[in-house]
Formats: sequence, structure tokens, C-alpha cells
Amino acid sequence: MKKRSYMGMLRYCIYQLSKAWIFLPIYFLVNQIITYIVLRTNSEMGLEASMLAFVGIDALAVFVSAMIGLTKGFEFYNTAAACGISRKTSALTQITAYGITAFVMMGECMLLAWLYELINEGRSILLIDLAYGPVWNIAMWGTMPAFIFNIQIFIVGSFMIWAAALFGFMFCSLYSLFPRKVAVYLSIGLPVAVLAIWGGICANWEMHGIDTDQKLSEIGNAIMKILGMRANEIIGGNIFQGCVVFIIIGIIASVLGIIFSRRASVSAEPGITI
Amino acid sequence: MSEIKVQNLCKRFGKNSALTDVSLTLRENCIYGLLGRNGAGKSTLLNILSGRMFPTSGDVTVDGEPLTGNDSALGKIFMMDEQLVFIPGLKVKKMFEVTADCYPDYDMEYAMKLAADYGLDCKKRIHKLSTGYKTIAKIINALACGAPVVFFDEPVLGLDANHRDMFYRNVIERYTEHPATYVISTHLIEEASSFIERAIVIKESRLIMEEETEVIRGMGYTVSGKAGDVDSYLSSLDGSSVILRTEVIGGLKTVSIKGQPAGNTQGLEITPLSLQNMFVCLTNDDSNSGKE
Repeated sequence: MKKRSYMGMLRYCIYQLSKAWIFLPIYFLVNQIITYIVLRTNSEMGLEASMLAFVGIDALAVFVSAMIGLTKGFEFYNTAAACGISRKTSALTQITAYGITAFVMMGECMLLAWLYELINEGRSILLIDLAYGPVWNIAMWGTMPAFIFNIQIFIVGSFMIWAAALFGFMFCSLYSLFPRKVAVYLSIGLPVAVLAIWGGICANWEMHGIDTDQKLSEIGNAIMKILGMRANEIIGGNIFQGCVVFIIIGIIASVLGIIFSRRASVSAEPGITI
Repeated sequence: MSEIKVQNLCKRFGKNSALTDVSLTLRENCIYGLLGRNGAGKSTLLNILSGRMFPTSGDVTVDGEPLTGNDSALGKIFMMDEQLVFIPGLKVKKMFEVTADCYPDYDMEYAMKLAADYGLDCKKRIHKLSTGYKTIAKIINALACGAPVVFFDEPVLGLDANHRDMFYRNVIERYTEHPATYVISTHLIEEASSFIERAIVIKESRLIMEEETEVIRGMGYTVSGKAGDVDSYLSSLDGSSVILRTEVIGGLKTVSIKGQPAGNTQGLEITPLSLQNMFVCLTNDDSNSGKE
């Protein structure tokens, strides 16, 4: 027998995930239309309607991301099983695929962000205020460092893939440990719980008169300091530095994912799965 | 070498037992028929042997290596599922390619030849194929995979008589050119009996027989004739013969018997038991367990 290679499965996973690329340009287009409306609407009502539209489309983006993560997680596991690949190897392959796809999509995000800035002549800062609220929190949860950028498309684009990766990764790890149903419930339940706690923390800050935005900026700066970067320069909108930050975060997330997944898979006891 | 050993395998789903204390060895390069009634545990056994399910207890080893979580052992096994496990939106050719990526001995040329023979359009997406062609796509994938052990779970589901015949011929041809272990789970026993070398019979979650088909066929016979003649023949039999099944139609009586013909058979028709008859006798709930 010839030696087996898992590159094929990795290629397959990346190929499947690559379909997620289409969502960014779609989001970009919709976002652009809303921007157009917003910039031409000075009334308060118009702004509120636009805000709702943003919230809607961002929520949809989160939903799509979660679906990509969960369904692809299932599909990859099934395909890997059909091809005689163990769950552990399958999980590792998936995590790697998510990581690689995320990096590629970051490039796409940056290109779109650049386009966005170019088209809107730097007025995109306005949009960030409009898309505030729960979506903002989800975005931060999906991709923690994103909130240091003042470019919304960058945030949403990146959190989409990271949310997908996170769901996929969580499912990989949980499925290695628990029966499928439990893994699905936890994959959905844990983020909801995290969001609820996060919402609670934010609400608590607001109740005590703490400016949530300010607090979040502080956290962002703290993270950047840990990474040895000068947050102020990045907040200024330096795309190249942003790229570096994303890649570093991506590498850290991927490495952590692989380590966690390996541990989860190794400790999985046969008999409790399926 | 690719020998699969199963020892004391048990699988429970809640309170239900799908497999109970199954022990068997799948030899290298042999065509097995996995026989059992609906819900007997055939698919569960194949799912466990291909690493899709984990046993509640018991061991499965491939060439001495444990199967669970072992990529090397799992890579020696390919299973053609009754259900579609690949992404339904995948094109047939892509499904072949993905499988080929994971099975280095995959014969793509052979797969494409078979696809042409069956008239399967490889550019189509799997979910757009008819039930029969979905099965054909899975069959081709399994035959071309090049794995030393291939499991077929209900491989002729939805196939017409012509395609079933083609499949049986393809199995024999492939087996002759590239010997491997084939385990074919099927309800169409008579059709598959011509090329099945050994039969594994499961009844109500237990393995009741694993034997060469020729030996199984030689285990019994059918005696038929006038009811009175058959009855007098039966009364002449000693205690070693076991009546498996009795059918009376009008004045004619047909009895399936485990054992060898003995005594006066004049006026009676003696025929060897077919694999299907033997299977029916072995797995029927109302089969007699002793001499009538």
C-alpha cells in the first residue's frame, strides 16, 4: 500500500470553506447601499432605520457564520469518516483549514476595507457608531481584536470568518468529547452564555456610569500592549499594521485551537461519542 | 495482510442491544456475505468495523492494531454506506477525487471506466442523481478505492436488475484482478450467493454462523413429496437430523432438514438447501428447533 497523505482532506476543507468568501463582497455591497442612504439622510428617523438595517445585516452575518461553522463541521466529519480518517486527524485538519481560510479572508477583508475607505473618503467612521449595540459585542466576541479598528467592514468581515472558525472549532473539540447532540447544544449554548455574560458585564458598567466604549478601548489597548504593539497607531487605521495584528492573532488562535483540539481528541473516550 | 479480528463486541443503544458478544475474524482476500434480517445488527457491525461507531465493549483490531482512532488501521478499510455521507452538493467526480486523496491506491481510471459503463454523469452533483445512480456512484467509489477491506452496506438498493447484474460481475472482476476482502451486506441472498465465499449470519444482535457458503449449503437438504411419504421418511430419521421448516401446500409437503439424507428416499424429491433457504430457516422466528 502507498502512504496516505492528509493534504487532500485539507485541500477539500479549504475548498469547501472558500465558499464563505462570497459573503464578504455581498456584505460589502449591502453595506455600501446602506452607507449611501445614510450619507444622504440627515433625519433622525433615517439614521435609526439605517442603524436597524445594519444590526439586521450584522445579525444575519453572525447567523451565516455560525451555520457555516456548524454545518461544515458536520460535513467534514462525515467526509473524513467516509475516507477512513480518524476524528482526531479530522479535527486537526479542520482547524488548519479554518486557520488558512481565515488568513486568506483577511486579505479579502483588507482589500474591501481599502475600497470602502476609498469610496467613502474616510467617512466610514460614521458607520461604526450606527452599527453599535449587540452586534458590536458579538463582533468582539467573534474576533476580539477587531474593535480596535475604525473600519466596520473590516470588523464584520473578519468576525464572520472567525465566528465561523470559532463555531467550527468549538464543534470539533466538543464533538471529540461528547455525543453529537450534546456537542451541537454546547456549540450553540456556550456562545449564547458567553454573550449573556458579556451583555451583563456591559450593562453593569453602564449602570455604574462606566463608559463601555472607553472600557472596551482600554481592553483593546491592553491586548495590543501584550502583543507589543502601539495601539494608538493601529487605531489610526494603519491597514498594514492591522494586517500584522490579524495574522498574529490568527496564528495564536490557530495554535491554541490545534492544541485544544488535540487534547480534546486524545482525551475522548470511545463509547461516549456518536 | 489485512485481517480484522472482532472479539466479544457489544453495542447498546440505551436499553436496546444492537450487537451482543460478537466474535469473528475477517480473513484476507475473501468475499463475505453479511446476512441478517432487518434490525439484526448488520449495519451496526459494519459501522463499528469501519470506525464510524464505537463499541460499548469488545475489541476490533486490524492486523493486530486497534481500530479506534487509528488512521493507519482505518486507512485499510473503506465502507460504502447505505446513506450518503459525502456532501450532497459535491459533484460525482469531486467525490472520487476526495476519496482518491485519502486512499493512495485509488484507481481513478477504473472509476471513470465504470462510470462510463453504468452511464453515470460524473459532472452531476450527487443530490441531483436518481436513487439508483446515487448507489452506482457509491458502488464505483468503493470498487475503485483500492483499500484492502471494503464493506458494502446494501449495495444494490434502488438498482434495477441490469445494474445489479453489472455490479455482481464488477465485484467478481475486481476481486479477480485486485483481490481484497469484500463484506457485502444484502437481503438479496440468492443473487449474491454465486460469489459469496463465506457467510456471516446475524440474528437478533448475535452472530449465529460464520462459515463457507458451500459448507452451509451442505448442512441441509429439502425433502418434498406426498405428505404421507414425507412423514414416513421423517419418522425414519435419527436424532441427529433437525427439521428447520415445514410447508404444506395441498397434499404436498416440503420439509427443510439440517443434516444429511438417510433412509429410504424413494418417491421423494431431495434437493440441497439454497443459501437463502438456509438463511430463512436459521433466522425465522417460528422455525422449529427440533425434530417434529
